[in-house]
Amino acid sequence: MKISFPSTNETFDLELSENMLAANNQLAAENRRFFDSRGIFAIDILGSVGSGKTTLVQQFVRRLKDKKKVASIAGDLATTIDADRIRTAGGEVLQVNTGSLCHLDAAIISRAMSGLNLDGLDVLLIENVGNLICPGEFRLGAHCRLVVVSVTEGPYMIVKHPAVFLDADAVAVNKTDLAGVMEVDPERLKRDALSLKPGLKTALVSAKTGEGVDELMRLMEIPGA
Amino acid sequence: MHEASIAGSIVRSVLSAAAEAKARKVETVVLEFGEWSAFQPEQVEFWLRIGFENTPAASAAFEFRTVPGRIRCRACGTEGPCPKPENGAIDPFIGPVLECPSCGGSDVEIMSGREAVVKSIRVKK
Ligand SMILES: Nc1nc2c(ncn2[C@@H]2O[C@H](COP(=O)(O)OP(=O)(O)OP(=O)(O)O)[C@@H](O)[C@H]2O)c(=O)[nH]1
Ligand SMILES: [Mg+2]
Ligand SMILES: [Zn+2]
Repeated sequence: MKISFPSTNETFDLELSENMLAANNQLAAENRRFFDSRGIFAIDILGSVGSGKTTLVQQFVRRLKDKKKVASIAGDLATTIDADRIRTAGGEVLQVNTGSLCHLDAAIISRAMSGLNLDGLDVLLIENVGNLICPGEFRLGAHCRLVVVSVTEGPYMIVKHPAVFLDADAVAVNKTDLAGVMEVDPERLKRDALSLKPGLKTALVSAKTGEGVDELMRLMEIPGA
Repeated sequence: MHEASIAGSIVRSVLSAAAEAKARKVETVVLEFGEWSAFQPEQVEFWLRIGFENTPAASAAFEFRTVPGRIRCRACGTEGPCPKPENGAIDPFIGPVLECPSCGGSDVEIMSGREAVVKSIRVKK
């Protein structure tokens, strides 16, 4: 509280000027320092419901697990389905259920860290809640934010949701194996992303067949990729 | 419902300031949201009403102010407001994309317009 001055005898105006996103931003910065101090490369994975986040995490884990120690956090409103699916690919997984909350936040990640074995951990894959709008405002402290958008969401997904791409570091245009039947041009989605934010790391992938996943991982500079 | 989280932060901030000032009642809460912030005032207000139930701020009036958006162009260095293109809105959730008013480039940095701030409160002793 900065200034306080009387308005009438018993009514006062209190100047607060408190940034409501600051608390999360501070915690995110603390998470980042924590990751850095342990040499952990953390990735925040965003995307609409069903865009292929978990399938992509499975691909990442399969490619990394023999070279690096990988752990995942699966954020969902309910169930442990995604954590169970990632576990089949290998590596440690923690399911975080957010209940009615539509996004993960820095505090949730900070708490989740105590539920993971951090010894020698190299890469932390965080699957955010399926939602392209809400998680955007809440940074987690990750080194890289990847947005997964699939051709099955239609050709306008990126131009209609620019905010989340402006805050992203990398974009995976997923389900390219279905581009033909969907009559959606993945290259166009890639161009949309790049025209929003030149320099974005973009790759065309199929999390199902694995095509393009190696290139995406190299672009994202994931250790062991 | 990301408005619920931001409303939770607002409730904590307002009630702790009011308690610190030993106020009996919070009459007004002034909130500032950026022109391009992802928070809808109607939704924030909905969650604030719930959050303030049975507190000194239960009957508070909310005043929402909009902070104008400002951009800086990484290509030509232009800094300032970003006028709406003639063909539509520039809400980041609706599009089209923010474009530099000088060179038309889209490599722009948002300097302001995304804030969510509790500006001030009016309290009664
Ligand atoms: N054909 C095809 N199907 C895919 C691809 N990637 C994911 N899928 C399928 O799409 C469906 C949803 O994939 P998930 O990986 O569960 O998507 P998600 O983003 O994790 O979904 P939520 O966690 O529910 O938000 C599954 O049936 C996947 O098998 C792909 O590249 N090609
Ligand atoms: Mg999933
Ligand atoms: Zn310019």
